[in-house]
Amino acid sequence: MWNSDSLAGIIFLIIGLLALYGARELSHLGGVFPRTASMLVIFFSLLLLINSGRGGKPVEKVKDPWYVIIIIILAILYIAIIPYLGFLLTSIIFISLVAWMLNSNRHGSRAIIMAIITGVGISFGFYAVFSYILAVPLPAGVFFQ
Amino acid sequence: MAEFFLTALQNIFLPHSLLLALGGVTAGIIIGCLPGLTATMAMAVLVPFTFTMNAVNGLIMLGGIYVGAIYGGCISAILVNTPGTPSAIATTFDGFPLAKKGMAEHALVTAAFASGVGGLIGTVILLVLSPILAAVALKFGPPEYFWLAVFGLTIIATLASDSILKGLLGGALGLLLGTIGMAPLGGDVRYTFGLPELQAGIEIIVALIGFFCIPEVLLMIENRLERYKLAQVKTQKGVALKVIKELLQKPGLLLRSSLIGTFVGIVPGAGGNIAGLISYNEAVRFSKQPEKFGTGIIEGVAASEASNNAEVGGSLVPLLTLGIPGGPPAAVLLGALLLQGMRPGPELYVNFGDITYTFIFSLFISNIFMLVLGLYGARYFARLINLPVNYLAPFIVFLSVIGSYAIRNNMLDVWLMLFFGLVGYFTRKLGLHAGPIVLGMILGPIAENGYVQAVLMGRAAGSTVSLFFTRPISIVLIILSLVSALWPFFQRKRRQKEGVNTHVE
Amino acid sequence: MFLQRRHPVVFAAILLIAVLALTGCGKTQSADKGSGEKEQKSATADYPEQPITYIIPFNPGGQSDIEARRQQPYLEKDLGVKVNITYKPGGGGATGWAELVLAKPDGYTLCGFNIPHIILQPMERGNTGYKTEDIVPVAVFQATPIGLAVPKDSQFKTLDDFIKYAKDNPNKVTITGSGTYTGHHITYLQLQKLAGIKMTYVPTTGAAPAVQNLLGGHVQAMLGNSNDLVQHQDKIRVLAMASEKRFAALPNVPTFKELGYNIIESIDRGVAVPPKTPPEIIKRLEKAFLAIANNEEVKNQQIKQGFVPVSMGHDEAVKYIKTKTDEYSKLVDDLKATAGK
Repeated sequence: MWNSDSLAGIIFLIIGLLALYGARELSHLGGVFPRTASMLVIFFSLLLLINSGRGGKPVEKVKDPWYVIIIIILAILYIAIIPYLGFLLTSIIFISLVAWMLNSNRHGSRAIIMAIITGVGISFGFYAVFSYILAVPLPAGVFFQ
Repeated sequence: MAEFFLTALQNIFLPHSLLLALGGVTAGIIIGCLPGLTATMAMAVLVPFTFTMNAVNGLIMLGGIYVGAIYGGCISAILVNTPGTPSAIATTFDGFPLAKKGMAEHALVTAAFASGVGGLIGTVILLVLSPILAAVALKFGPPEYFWLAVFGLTIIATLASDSILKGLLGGALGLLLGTIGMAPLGGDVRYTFGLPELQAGIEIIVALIGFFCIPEVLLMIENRLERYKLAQVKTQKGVALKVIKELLQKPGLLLRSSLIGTFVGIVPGAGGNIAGLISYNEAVRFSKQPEKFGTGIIEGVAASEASNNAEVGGSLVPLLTLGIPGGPPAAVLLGALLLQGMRPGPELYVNFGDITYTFIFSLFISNIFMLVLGLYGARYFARLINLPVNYLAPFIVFLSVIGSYAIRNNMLDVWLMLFFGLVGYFTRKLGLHAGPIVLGMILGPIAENGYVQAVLMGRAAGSTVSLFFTRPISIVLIILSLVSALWPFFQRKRRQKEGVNTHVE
Repeated sequence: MFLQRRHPVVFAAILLIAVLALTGCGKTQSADKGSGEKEQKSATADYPEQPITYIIPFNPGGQSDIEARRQQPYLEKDLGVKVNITYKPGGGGATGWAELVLAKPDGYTLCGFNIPHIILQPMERGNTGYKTEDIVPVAVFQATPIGLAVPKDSQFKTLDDFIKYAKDNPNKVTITGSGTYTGHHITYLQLQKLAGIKMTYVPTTGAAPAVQNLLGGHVQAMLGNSNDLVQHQDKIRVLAMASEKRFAALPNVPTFKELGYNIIESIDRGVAVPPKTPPEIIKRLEKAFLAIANNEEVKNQQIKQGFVPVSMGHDEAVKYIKTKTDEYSKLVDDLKATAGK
């Protein structure tokens, strides 16, 4: 019953309806595109739903869901912490941590050292390029300002 | 004019000119291959350095950066499915599949060669046909932009070969996302959820990195155990020569793509991204084996890269002759020209002829440097993909974060990038691909601006319908759109018939 | 797989940290502002010590960018630190200004600003993210009066031709300009009211597309910035300028005032700092920018390119903004009442 067509259809049908609702107060010319786009979304979602009855592709499975979830959470934490610890430090922590975690031979000090070297190397290297050569100010973090 | 040619030829072979061009191209390639850093940004950052040089040298360097950066975008497009600059979006369609098949070097060599050819053709046209083409560029008014965007959107039909419905849904979603922010007329502000940063809409690069890159990283993590086997791909010898020979057997592909790119570049506001997409679409239509596109063939990469580098030359046509930049990098060049006291227009070619022609000729040199650097660099770049997943994945996430931040120094963009990344991953699992969504986001605003302005013009003239449907360039674009939209259906019918024939035999 | 045995606990712990981090996020901005006070007293004595960020709230290559690039070498010499120009385009400048008012008032973040944008945007738009009063001007150094232009081969040779035609053909004349409720749009509304005509305004995003529309003949007229008018003067005819006196770079063009229509509009550009910036820092920056504004070479360059050199310091600028705010507030109410949008 639940295949990729029907799931996509339902989700985007709801999004389309919400978008159409959100556009209700717009002026005529200001709202023509949002309304048209929302209606197109709704229309195609409905078609997908109808089509799903004929048997669409199944939803692609996520292999190793826990790993993926952990990495996503780490990425969220990474971005959330940058304003506090600064870009450089947070990047070092993130890269080293993830490089170690994903390593299938992660036991032993060699793996940990390699991960940290990678983290420090990449972070410093690109930080230097961006900050000094390209003059892009990167967040320094609350503690270091 | 001929005297200028002679002076220009002498100038470009001076040691410092060559060094500046080489330096510019190198810097451009490095910046272009980092997602989030665009040619525009690179050039803007280096404009102050051009104050201390004289006008010619500054322009040579900026030109080199422009050429290099547009090429550089293909490197990350091929290796990690993330266009380093928006011009390389179409390069991901076949470039990344090639890399996954272990043929990253083939893709990179193709990109270098095609970019070089495209860039050279674009520069030739810039040199020879500028005045005529500039006049054509001016004929593009709001209705033409609308139809150009519609034409661009029909490419969805080509991209979404497996499920047309999902492709159309993706495109509609993209259109919707593109409406976020201020309306072109009336000052309505749409879907900003109270965040003032969204008044400007969503930065396209944020969406690019999010939709193209993050899902790949997550998939990489899912498949990390299998990838360890892929990493053992050995580097082959003589790839470059083989690829070049193959490409030279298809002069039509390269020529057509370059012409499309130059022409799209001439239209102000239509940049390398649109050039690459339209060229890719046409390559599919003209091909004898269209179904192979998207699976990883060098023709796909060649079509996109030839046209996006040809677009560089094209974007300079309205800039130098009219003072209207063909795209954002050209706008930076305009600023540089004005600061040096040079006004674009006929004056540029007459009063400053030696500078102008030296600049144009230097583009030939820059394109050649780019070609050579790209060809030689290909085998080294290709090795990057052999890095083990546990280093590659966090590295890519790191680049995505720094890249999306660098656009306008705003953490919100980084959050948006991650948000789109997760959405993109999720929709991937549901069978919706990033291409149509991003297409909608890029073309939606162009279509809307054109539409709103044209409606206003139409009302004033008394008939909106005639304004939209009776102007010559619009008619051409409408026909192109219809052909492009209906092509896949004819394709399928033809293939079915052929299938029946071979069956019978 | 390291999660196999302990995963529910580890997962819950990570989730908890994530939630805490996200809620903590929102407090960053206020934390910054609070700690600023004590540091300021010692910082101003040696200001500036670090590189300064000069935000341009528009795309590179525009008028604000050109001016900033012109100023950059002088600023770096005068202040002795690097000045980094960054771009934060969007919302007609609003995105950049919304960020400016939240930045630390330590003198290391500057932002170009435009009048009437900073006045009209909060007035007309819902939530722009900043209030006019929060933009603290350091100096105003450039102005581009707005002018009415038609293509060189247009049937309109004088402003009178134009207005006569518009009177006879209500809503038929297409006139393009940059944005809605911007200086250009206000000029259009004023012209309609004072001349008693009705036209159709075709807004574009930015000045370049407006020029393109005009040169391509897609519209009949354009309201544009003086520097664009100067740049393209061979291809266009400027019918009138909305300035007090005749515009130096286009001496043959009459002013609206001369012709009987009291329309004075220009886009004034300056640089601003966040609210609560200490007066000593404002004074230092003001000195640096006014030195550039009064520099003869700079002024000549500006005039050649079609800009009007201006030299307003902090106090003058504050007064000017207040006057303009009152003016616009009355004007906009009036225009809305008569024109019916």
